[in-house]
Amino acid sequence: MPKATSNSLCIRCKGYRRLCGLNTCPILERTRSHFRVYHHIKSESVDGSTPPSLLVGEYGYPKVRVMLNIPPAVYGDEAKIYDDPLLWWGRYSLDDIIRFRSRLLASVVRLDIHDPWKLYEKEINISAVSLEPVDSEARLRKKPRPHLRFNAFTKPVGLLAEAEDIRVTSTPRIGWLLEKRIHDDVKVADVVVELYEGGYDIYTLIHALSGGLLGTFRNRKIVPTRWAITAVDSILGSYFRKKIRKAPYISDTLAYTGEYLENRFLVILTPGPLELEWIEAWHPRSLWGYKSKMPSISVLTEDVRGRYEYMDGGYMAARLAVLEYLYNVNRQATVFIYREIKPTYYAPVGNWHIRETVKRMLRGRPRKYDGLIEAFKHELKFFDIPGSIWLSHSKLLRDIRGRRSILDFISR
Amino acid sequence: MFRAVMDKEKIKRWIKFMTTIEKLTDEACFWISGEALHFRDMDAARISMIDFKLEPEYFIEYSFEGEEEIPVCMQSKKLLEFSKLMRNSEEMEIILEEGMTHFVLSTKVPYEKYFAIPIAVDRERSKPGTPELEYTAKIKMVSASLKDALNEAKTISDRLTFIAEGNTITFLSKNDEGFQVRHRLVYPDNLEVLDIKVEEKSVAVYMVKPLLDVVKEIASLSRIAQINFGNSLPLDLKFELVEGEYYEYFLAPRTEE
Repeated sequence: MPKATSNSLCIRCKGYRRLCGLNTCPILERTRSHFRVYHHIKSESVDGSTPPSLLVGEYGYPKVRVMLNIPPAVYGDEAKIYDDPLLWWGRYSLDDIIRFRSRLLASVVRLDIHDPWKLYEKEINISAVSLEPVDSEARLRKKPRPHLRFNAFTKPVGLLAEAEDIRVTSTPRIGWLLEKRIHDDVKVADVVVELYEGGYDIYTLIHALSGGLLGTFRNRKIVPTRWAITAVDSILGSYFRKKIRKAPYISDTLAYTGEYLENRFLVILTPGPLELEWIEAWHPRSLWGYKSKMPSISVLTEDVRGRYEYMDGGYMAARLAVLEYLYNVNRQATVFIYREIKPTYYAPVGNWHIRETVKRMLRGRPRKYDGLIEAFKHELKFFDIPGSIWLSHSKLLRDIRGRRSILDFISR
Repeated sequence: MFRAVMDKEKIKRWIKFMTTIEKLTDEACFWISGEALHFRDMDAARISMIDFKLEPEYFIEYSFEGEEEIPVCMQSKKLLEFSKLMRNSEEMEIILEEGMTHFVLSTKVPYEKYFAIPIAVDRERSKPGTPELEYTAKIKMVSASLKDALNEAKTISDRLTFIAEGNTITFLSKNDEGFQVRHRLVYPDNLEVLDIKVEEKSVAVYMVKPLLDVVKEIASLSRIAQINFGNSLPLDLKFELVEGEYYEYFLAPRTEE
């Protein structure tokens, strides 16, 4: 098993001895990408096409950093690859995705969240929801410099530079429905559902919400990206949940598995009311569990009324994929979603891969079982973490096994 | 079509009843007739059921035009929210208007308030039956004492075992970490038990939370609760209430422990 990426290990390794067990050094990889970006920045002025890519930070809230990401000197369709989860899924590895992300220059402006109109004036938020890359220029306060940082949590971000001005130089193409809704005084929840059903992908909706393009005029604000992702997942998930509240139960216990970016997923659907359980297990020596000798496990359950113990972005992403599937087949089920994170998932790249992996798994052919116990017995072998550990943490399984229905006692 | 008026005291009681219904289900479906305003439904997981009825004598005024019961469904959350906003009114009117599009809560005293909830009239809907079982343990006890037992159990577990033997009722909960909580009442030594009839040793396990959701609210309206259960049988909990009120709660047992 690979060892944890600790600072002292990195200094001894210097990226070449592979002491952490990874095939490539994430720190060197990121630094190389930064240098590649740096070579394209000839002066304080940078141009390229945003894929589109907009990031709003949380730090300093309500005065937040809004970052329009541009791959310097990359134009037109070529820019798309630098931030497009739908294009990435299944084709690119973790290293590739880190390389793509690191190739972007984030031109930063600091804004009050209550002032999305400033982004609108310059069409920055409009360009972020464009269906195609948009040519942009940023005048930077000073040229950013790449630097080597030894850090166990190497985030896949590119160079950052404060921008004096950002200009969008080509016309964003956003589609008539979104264009209309930007100018309408409509609640966020309603418009998100309408746009999703109108064919807009979730990433466009996240950018739209984050950039302050949606909602009633009075409440419109810039939303940190992480919050916007969870909000859109939650709005759509709750919409699908509501729609299937009265749907019949599925008829068999079904199991689906999938793996991408060093993450494994198992989804088990069993006949019963719509309840969900999410168990996330980080291997010892993985990103969040690297000081632990045992897997680090978190459990979240959502009851029949849609109440969950706490908000978790990863869960919300997986939940949306499952609820959308159940909505499409007009069935309800009791749902178990388990995620195993391997030590080789050395850099977090966001929740998109959870959403996309689970969504694609559910398009595949399921394995059918007569009962839940049989399903767990076979399916938990998919993980490296022993089945007994998963089962000992499952609250929902324990609850279901002992449950009887009041209907069992009513004579018909 | 249907109109009923209740006084200030009854509004407060109504809010308690509606709180338990809101905790049970998203959609509150009432059967309205000349005999009662009746709610009987299960939660989505079908482990518990509330059978609740308000008869004409409960109200200051009660009128219903029609021959058949009308099943009327609405959002339970809004029904509770609006009911709570009526808390300080001198009286409250409940109206199902002729077109049957809205369920209305309104008052004119001390000033006019009007809340309309969109409804669905579901004539296809059939009223579920209730469990009719031979219970081997029947205990009449003080509601507050039952509430205490549940609150104590909640501190360590989400399950509670009811054990009735001889003239004793025991509420026992344990958890995997070895904690145990026991609440035992003996008749007639403990005044909290008013009557106990146990045909054979009876043991059943129930979930604490759904039970506490009901007992917490109704214990403040009723001093006395009748508990019926048996070996692995549902819990049948009936409260002694004022004239015109009827409230019975069923909770399915669990098969473990």
